[in-house]
Amino acid sequence: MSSRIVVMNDEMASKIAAGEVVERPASIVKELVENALDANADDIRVELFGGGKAAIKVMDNGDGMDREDAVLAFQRYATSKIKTFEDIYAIYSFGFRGEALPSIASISKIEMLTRRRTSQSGTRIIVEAGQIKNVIDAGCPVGTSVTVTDIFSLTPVRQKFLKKDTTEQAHCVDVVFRSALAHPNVSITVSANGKEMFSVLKTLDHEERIALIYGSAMMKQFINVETRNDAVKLWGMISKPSLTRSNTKGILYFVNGRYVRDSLIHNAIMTSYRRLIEMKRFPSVILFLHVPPSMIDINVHPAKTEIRFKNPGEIREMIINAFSAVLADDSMPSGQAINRHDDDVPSVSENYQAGVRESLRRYTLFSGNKQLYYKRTDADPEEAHRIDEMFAVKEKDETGFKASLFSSLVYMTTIDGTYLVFQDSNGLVIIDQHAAHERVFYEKLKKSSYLKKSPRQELMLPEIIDLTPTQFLLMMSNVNIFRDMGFDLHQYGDNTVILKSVPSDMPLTGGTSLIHDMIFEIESTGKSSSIEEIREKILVMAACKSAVKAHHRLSTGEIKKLLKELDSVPNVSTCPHGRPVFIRIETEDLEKLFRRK
Amino acid sequence: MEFNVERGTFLEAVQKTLGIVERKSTMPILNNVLIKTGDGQITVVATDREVGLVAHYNATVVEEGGITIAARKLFEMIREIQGDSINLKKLENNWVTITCGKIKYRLPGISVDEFPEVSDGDDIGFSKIKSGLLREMITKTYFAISTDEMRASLNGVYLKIDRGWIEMVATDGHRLSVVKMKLEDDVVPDFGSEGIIIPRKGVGEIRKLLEDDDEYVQVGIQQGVCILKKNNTILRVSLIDSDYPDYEKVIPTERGIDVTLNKDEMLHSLKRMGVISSERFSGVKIQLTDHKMVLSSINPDVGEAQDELTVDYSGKDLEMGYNVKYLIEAIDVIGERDISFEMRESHGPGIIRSFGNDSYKCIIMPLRL
Ligand SMILES: Nc1ncnc2c1ncn2[C@@H]1O[C@H](COP(=O)(O)OP(=O)(O)O)[C@@H](O)[C@H]1O
Ligand SMILES: [Mg+2]
Repeated sequence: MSSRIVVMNDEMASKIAAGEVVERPASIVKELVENALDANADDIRVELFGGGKAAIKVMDNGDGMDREDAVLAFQRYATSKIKTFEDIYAIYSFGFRGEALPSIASISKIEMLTRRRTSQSGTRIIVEAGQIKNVIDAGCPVGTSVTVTDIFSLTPVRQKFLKKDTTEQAHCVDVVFRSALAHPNVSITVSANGKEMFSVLKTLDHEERIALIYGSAMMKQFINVETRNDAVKLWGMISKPSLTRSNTKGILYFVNGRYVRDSLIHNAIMTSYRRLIEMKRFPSVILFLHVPPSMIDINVHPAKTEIRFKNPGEIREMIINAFSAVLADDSMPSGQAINRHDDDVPSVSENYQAGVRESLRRYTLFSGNKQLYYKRTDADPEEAHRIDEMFAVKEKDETGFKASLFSSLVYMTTIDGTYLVFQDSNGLVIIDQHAAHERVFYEKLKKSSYLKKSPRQELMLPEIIDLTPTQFLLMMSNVNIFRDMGFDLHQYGDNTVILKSVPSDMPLTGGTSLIHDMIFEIESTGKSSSIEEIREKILVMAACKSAVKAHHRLSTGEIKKLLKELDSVPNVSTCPHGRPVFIRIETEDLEKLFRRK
Repeated sequence: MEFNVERGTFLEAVQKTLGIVERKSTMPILNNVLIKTGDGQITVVATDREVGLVAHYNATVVEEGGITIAARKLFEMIREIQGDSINLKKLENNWVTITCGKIKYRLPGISVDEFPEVSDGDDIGFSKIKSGLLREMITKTYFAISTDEMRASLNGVYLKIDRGWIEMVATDGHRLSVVKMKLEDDVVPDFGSEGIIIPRKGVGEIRKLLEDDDEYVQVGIQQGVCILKKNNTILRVSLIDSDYPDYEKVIPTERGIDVTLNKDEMLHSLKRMGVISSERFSGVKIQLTDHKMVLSSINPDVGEAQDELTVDYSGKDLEMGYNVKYLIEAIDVIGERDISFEMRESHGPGIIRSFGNDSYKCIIMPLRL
């Protein structure tokens, strides 16, 4: 039995008040769905009309309210979720301010039907412009349904700022979609104007839920990350470096089931992919962090989409370590298909209808058995076997059996003096010789003592480097890092530095462009880079310079050597600039291309 | 078009174009040499748009005309032909036959119309310079040309003529090589007060043109192009349009600590150090003490080396580090028996020159080991 709603005293209310405002239909959907989740519902249905601008209905099978609470719920600062201010550091619920229902009610008309499991009958309550108009007993199922109409009818100005139906609707569906990702054991459905838009049944865990939503084709492009320490638990599915998008929309992360935007987490994710994917491309990441409520502050933003960590460094490190480990391990056998950009992959909202339907069919038949999920129901034993095999190989890979995968490839030919074509039992593998060499050199250099305590070559004509005021400040605050590497830099004038020596093993003789590049990088990542990062940057240039260029024919001996080396280094799927090292065309892909399938 | 030419002449003519034609040009026509007939001669032309070569050779012209042919293939064909005289004939559709006795090659050419214009009858003032002099200057500077494409002005040698003196300079920012020589006073080419920068590839082609005789070469400048004429050949090199850094200020004027060394002895000793050097550990430590120069190198990946030379030195102790490759290259080009190695304390530049002669100086910045 859930606790009763209590109205906060003024002092507590003033500490907690955030002035939650309803910005758009999606804010309403978010609050109502969160209330349903807080009420322990495991079946939530959302109905949208006119893009969520005309009406929104959210139904749940949760705890429900009795008549008294149903009335209290529309009072400001009335909540059942906390009793004292300090409780916010110990709760897992979404709500705690008691602001949402009154805020929504103040700009619309609400009809709420609610019934507790223990009550014989339910309550129907009508609220208009914040005023309770009518409260009566009514027959209704256990749980709560809230129907919101006449949204913003009293504030025509706000109404004018809303986007067109399809845009607002997409925002609403996004909210539901994210909730569905975060709450695998809740069945969630959203419809628009009576048409089902998105629907997932109850699943066992995140992995199953993600597979259900994204479909098995996409799942092949993802890797699992999982790690924990005493307090924090991290779990996620992250895209292989070969799957990138042109925007950050594929990056979703949740803290204690709450979808948040956070630059710390974002930076940690992007840092993990640095040197693995191209500039200006982004991975797809679905990440769940479970953090004790005492270690975060969620009361920093009205919509609670921002949080503050008490131990940001630990979180950052945890993400980077976990991600880097699995990304480095992502080598060939996990069945990497032709490299894709999101342009080729239909976006989730485009393909989920078909995908989900197909998944649902499969899922329903094998419900409850996690392992079985990957099997197809359309009774193709061979296919099922093949998929099993694929995952079997993957498991092997994870336990360290990946050695000699490149070396076992059979060389066929070279195209355009650049692309080495190989065959294996599954199809073709094409390697970009320059990218492959680059990766190999880079990993070797990275391991070596290159640019660590290098002798300093004095320059004949010291180079004078002009910087912008921001760059200059960044440079001067990092000057010791540069000096440690052998770059002897001194202030020379306003926003000008003079370079007197360079590391003797620097690949290029001109330091200016290198310094500029590095400062630019430090500037654009917005943080002062560590010596490791700066060193890495130079290593990338060095690797590129010493790697065999395209259009240079390799002997069979050299090819063999290259394959062997590829087996021995991590991160082989991309070169340090993030371009792919190899692509795989599997027999299956060929069959598709020739429309045999 | 048809002509007969001596095999040896033709082989040499095509071979001389190989350094210029592009290996993998995006414009296939630049892989070709142009061959056209003239009065009792043929003209062979090659260009990569930066460096152009026009050369005339004696031949018996049967029918006037011109064609362009893939240079490398043509060279290989002529090389494999045995016989004295070669007949080249253009057929329809720009096909070409190359015949020598029973040997016959047939290959497609490309029409002359598509070949970029390379002028040869330049009507500009030429001045004469001794081939040997220019050649020596190139040898003594070429190695110091920068390969860093980011610094265009250093990708060539700087050439300047000032009151009867000709000076050539190359630097990569770590070392600077400068040669200054007296011209015969009646011939003073005019490169303008600014001097010119000849790109590396052009310098290489000029060096080939000068070969090992001591005749005169005619040199002239026209619209950013340096033109050299020697015997039957004209070489056109597009200059680097950039300002050369003010190198004179890095040449120390005050004298440092000078030691005289036997060139071969020092060179061998340095090469012994070089054996254990790598790109990463390229340094050699030079310690000067009483009558002794100790050279040593440490490379954690390979091992250590040490050597000792007796020198005529009795000043205070000195210890310096240099890139061993820079020292070797600077000393290697010296023809004289003895060299002088001038070092400076507190990381000042070192200078290599031939003993008692200031015409060549290679200034080398130290390495802080
Ligand atoms: N769907 C629901 N099922 C059960 N109780 C609900 C539901 N929606 C709201 N309530 C009750 O109404 C109270 C006020 O809701 P709300 O205004 O969203 O504030 P908060 O969620 O911050 O407590 C909640 O604390 C809860 O007790
Ligand atoms: Mg709430």
